[in-house]
Amino acid sequence: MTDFVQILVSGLTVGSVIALVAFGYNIVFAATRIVNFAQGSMLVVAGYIAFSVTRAGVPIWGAFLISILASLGVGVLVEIVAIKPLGRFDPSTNVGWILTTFGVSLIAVDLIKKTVGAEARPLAPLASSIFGWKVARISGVAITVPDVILVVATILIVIGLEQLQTRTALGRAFRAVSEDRQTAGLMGINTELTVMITFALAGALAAIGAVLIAPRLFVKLDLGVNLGVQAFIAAVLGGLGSTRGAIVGGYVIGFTTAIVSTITSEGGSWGPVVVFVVFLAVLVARPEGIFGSPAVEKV
Amino acid sequence: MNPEQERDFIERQVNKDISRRKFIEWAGKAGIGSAAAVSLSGAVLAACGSGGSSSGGGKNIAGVSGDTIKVGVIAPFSGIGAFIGTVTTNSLSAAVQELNARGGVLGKKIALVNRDTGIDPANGVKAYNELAGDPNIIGILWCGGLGFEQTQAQFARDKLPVMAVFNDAYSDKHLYPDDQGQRSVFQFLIPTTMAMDTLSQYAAHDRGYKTAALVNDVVLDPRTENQGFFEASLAKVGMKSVGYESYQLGNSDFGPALQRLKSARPDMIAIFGLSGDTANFVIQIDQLGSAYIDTPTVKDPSKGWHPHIFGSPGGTGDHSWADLAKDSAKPGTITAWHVGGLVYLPEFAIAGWMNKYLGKLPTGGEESPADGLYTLLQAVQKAGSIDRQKMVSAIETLGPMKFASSTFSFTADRHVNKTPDDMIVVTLERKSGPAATTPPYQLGHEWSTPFARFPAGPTQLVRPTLEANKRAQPEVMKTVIDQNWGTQCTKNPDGTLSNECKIH
Amino acid sequence: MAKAETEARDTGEVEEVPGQFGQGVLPIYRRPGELIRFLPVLLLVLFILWFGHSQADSRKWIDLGTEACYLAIAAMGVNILLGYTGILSLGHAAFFVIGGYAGAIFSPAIGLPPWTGFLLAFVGAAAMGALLAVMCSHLRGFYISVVTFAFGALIPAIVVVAKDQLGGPAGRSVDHFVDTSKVPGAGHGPFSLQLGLFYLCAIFLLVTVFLCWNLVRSRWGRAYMAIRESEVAARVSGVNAYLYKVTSFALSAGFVGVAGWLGAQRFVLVSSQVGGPDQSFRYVITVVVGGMGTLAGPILGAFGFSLGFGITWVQNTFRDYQGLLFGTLGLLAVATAPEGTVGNLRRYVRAYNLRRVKKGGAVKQAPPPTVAPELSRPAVRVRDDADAGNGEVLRVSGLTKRFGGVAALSELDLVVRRGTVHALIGPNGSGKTTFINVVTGLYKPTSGRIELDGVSLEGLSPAARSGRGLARTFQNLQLWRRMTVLDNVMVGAHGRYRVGLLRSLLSTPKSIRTERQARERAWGLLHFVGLADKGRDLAGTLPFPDMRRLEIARALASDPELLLLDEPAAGMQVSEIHDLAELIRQVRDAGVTVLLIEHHMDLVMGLSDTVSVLDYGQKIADGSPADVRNDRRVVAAYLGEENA
Repeated sequence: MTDFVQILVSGLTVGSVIALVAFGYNIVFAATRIVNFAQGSMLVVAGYIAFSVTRAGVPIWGAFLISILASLGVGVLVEIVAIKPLGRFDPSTNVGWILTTFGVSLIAVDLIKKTVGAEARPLAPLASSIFGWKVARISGVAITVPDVILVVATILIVIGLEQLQTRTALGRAFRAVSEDRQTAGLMGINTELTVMITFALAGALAAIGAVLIAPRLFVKLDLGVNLGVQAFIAAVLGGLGSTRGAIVGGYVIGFTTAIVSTITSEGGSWGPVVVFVVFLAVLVARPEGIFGSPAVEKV
Repeated sequence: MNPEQERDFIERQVNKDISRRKFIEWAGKAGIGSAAAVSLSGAVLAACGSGGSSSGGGKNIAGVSGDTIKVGVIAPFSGIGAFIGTVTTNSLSAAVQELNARGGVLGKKIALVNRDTGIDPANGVKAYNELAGDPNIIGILWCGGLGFEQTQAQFARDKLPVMAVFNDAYSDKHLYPDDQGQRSVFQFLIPTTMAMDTLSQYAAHDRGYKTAALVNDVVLDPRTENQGFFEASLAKVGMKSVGYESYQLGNSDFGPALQRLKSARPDMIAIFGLSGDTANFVIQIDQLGSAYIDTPTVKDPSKGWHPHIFGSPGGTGDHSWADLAKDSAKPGTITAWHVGGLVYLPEFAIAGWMNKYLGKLPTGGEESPADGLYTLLQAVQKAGSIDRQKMVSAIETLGPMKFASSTFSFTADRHVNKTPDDMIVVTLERKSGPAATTPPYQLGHEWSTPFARFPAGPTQLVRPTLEANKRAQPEVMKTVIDQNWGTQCTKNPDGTLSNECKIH
Repeated sequence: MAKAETEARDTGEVEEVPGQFGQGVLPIYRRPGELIRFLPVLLLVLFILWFGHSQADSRKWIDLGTEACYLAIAAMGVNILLGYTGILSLGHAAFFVIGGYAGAIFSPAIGLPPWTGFLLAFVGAAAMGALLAVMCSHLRGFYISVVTFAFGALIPAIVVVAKDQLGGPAGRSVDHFVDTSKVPGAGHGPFSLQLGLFYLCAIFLLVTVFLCWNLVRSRWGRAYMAIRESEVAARVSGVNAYLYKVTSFALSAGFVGVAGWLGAQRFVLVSSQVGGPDQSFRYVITVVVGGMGTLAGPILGAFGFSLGFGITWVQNTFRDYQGLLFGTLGLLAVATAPEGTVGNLRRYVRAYNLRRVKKGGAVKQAPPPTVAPELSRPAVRVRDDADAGNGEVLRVSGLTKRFGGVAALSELDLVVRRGTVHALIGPNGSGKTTFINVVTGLYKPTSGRIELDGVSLEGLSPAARSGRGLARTFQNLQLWRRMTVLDNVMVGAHGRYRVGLLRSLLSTPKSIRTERQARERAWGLLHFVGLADKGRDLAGTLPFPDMRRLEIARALASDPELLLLDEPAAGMQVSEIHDLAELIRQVRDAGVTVLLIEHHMDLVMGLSDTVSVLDYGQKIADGSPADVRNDRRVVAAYLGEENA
């Protein structure tokens, strides 16, 4: 029973961490058919912004909001630097954006190293207790308030994003722009603005993720790399373009890692292997992911 | 839009894009083209330029070209191990200024060449390869950088003097004389086996613990030998190993591992890793309700499972860990350390130099890089040259040296400067005051000045290793006892320490 | 896009649409026999000799030179896949690791002398490359990259868990490394080991250059480029795209593996730590900045980066910030100069030459060679199992193709008789192009039967169908624009003049002979369609009607039984249509059966022997042109439609 609860808790927490980052990949892909490889580094930037603000004395909620606002700008900056210069192109055949976004992530990490320095930094949780309750222990497994906030926030965000994508004009604009940019432009949609908004949203999601994740993982440079890769796998596994897919993908990885860690004490080493093997298997069998839609090539 | 407007619209868009893009394109192409041209021609020029001056590099020469002696430093200056890099920088900066103020070595000034290994062992391998190719570099200070194990084959090939300041080659028998090829390597870091022996002895003899488990970072233990070492040292003192958990640097979730450990209920958990992860570990064990309280609680089954946490230096012994783990860093957490590491002692020069040249105070570990540097320079001094073989012989025959902290030495059959008698046990204390124990104990003198700014920090437990330490460093221990450094129990009327004291 | 292309047609230049990463570099073709094309290699050899001699005393520079050489080998490997085949791999550094283990650990462990390690390094890495290819070659561009990325991350993770055999994160030290002090030229100085390694790496680099030189000028190289420019067209021309992608992966991985073996000699260590996504990214950037799709580009990029780091200023500024350097260069290169340094150099040379021609300067190209008459005609390959008596080339029965709920083709029966021009007409959306796609194997039919010469085509890939005698042109032109006109036709003949991979790599006499034959045939067909004097031009520079002719020449190159023409007259002027009709007549007279899809009624009626009419995926009429024209149903289906 303990094992079961442990897997549940570990899977949900680790999975939510990954899902939060995967949302960022997803929202950008939904509008542009591009995978923003700089997503992980946007998370790190947001985290260091939040830390710097708290060090200046601002309480955590204030830092949270400031970090989100700043990250909107960071997202737009990434778009201007990595995507705009490429002009018009078809993302599925012309994959230069892979290199530009990847390049931006490398640049961002080094810039952080140069300016803020590279030590791991703690960040206070948004709330460490609810009505005085800090930790629950179920079947010997600890569940803390930050963990609960993490999971709940993830689910709320999924619902929110899905509403955004299906019910709002912006969501429709995303879909239009991703399917046929030229027609969307002719129909009166400001495609450049839409793409910028997408990236800004990705930045905001990164900031939200950073603050929710920091209590577990601290703010550190390596976050961008490790988490970025895992979240990318999650987003592709679940199906790029599908918010539902992002959260499912995140939980698949979270639970896989938790199960492997429960089975063997060498979970640290075997976890990544299992995750990659699962990833490859899914890609070979169903490249569009769990919730993705297969594309037909027109001749 | 009618067709004409449509055409115009598209045309305008395309033209706008084309002209803007043409400019960026041209600029970019010019940039890339000139970068390539500059790079290649610059390389050719530089190669031509340096071709002459490196003549005779590495061969048996007595003198040094130019008026500086260069020493390579390989350490993690960024990434999760960055605090080690900071310690290294501070230590060496103060040491170099002190040595240059004394006139340098053989009339030459000392300069450092730093290389950052970050979080990637490959950087260490490449950094060494690069530095070893520079004939003006007389030796390497390897201060905790990743990639040490991976570079050992190159040490054997190049025979450049390497000071393993924060790396351990001794425990897995890759240090001379166990490994005949590693003659040019000398170690300062407490060997893991020695540290584990100290911790096990303390756990068994002073606390009476029976069972233990190990939580190990496999990235920092590339040959995965820590488990073997741990079990061996437990066996020596009659304790039993009941668990082993491995994780990778940067891991966040110890949940499943903790569940297994909880079932096994070890009295003591040894955790080896860097503070970012070990902090996470104690936070999560605290959330589980199993934080360490004191030894009586450990031994009382009715009080639940509250294992005693024993850590590695750099894992649980330093301020950055206490910073990250906050309240979950419990007083009484134990680390193994060495006498020379008590850098705040007035006996030890490093604190004074750091204050003088940098306006900083040491946080722990600063004695080793400085001592490493000193060793290299003494070798040059004694050998009268930077010939690699001669330097190595010189180090082996220099005899006792004293520089940054306590006296140390190397010999032809001992390439690590720590002996078991140098080992001490260190505990985490909080400035808020000592825990209540019977008989009571005082927080040492260090809490009034050098540690005043820290809410928590490592302090020596004097009594457990007092006799051994007196053998190794008699004057130092006299200072410690007389001036009330470290955590000492009630003193007997004759000045000796009470043996009844069971702290925490 | 459209406007830019019109401009291109008028001025004879191919307008580079910025940001079109991955679509290859404009080749510069020289006359065979022009020695200047060996100049870059000569420069390389001279550089190596000079470098080794002048830097013999500087270990730092020797090491950098060694790194430059083996990274150049790795870059050339990546270039085969990325530059020539158009596939972006984000995990190639894994092959460096695999090659190191195979060549430096495993090979000596089974008793082979250390210096032979490169064989196992190549073979081991190539095998893994093929494995990876098998996993992803059926996927679209972006997803291939994702799979390579996952693979590239998986390999280091496997090394970590297999710590007993592979050493875990620490890797394995190389106990039996090559004693490079015995390499000729290593001398007896203190760095003879390092100097010898440099020369060893240089030798391997030159061997790699030799192999790649042969590869890109062989039918294999052409096939790779065809896949890059238009995979669909490659497949219907007889290139088994899947197989070729696998071989491209394998070759590319093999070269990176050899580089890994050499790297292991330098550090006396094989470690998974040099195989992560960052490293893979660096390989790609090296190739891109140097010049994708060229031979000199990767070498230039690798030498530039490795030796550039030797400059003290560069080292001090960027050592700890290599991410910044590579990221920025990558960004710049892809966004502004996707063709890289060498690619851009070539563009300027081409532009210069073009300007000289415009100003009345001499045309440097040699005149097209004359070719024997029998090679200048379409031919039909004689098949052993040909159903000669029947007279039916194509028999389609009950063919149905559904897309979801829509039936694009419905119970279609059609017979095409040998030696005729059979037209297929119908309103827009009646299923004509779908029909061709199904017959050539690009779509799988929902039901029905297709027989070519009495043999069912079921289950055969487009390439296999090409082998059985089917060829086609495309409505929207699928030419390989950045290859020459001649090369386009030569790829068309891919299935007819076969040379194995090994022979191509080594450029054996047999392969040279076969190449010559293929080239003659291609020239012949160009003569036939009237494009011979444009043979060495880039296909993308041709005026529009010539592009259509080129597609026909390409299709004829496979000596097909049946030639399917998909709206060949679309977009043509009246006089051009006249010439086209004459051409088609000549094709028929040479014995090739033609199935013609068209809208131009004059062309159809004047040219065809039989006409079939489709409407909503069904055949509504079939017969001679006169019968069909007066058929009431046909008139009804076309009600309101004007001739173009």
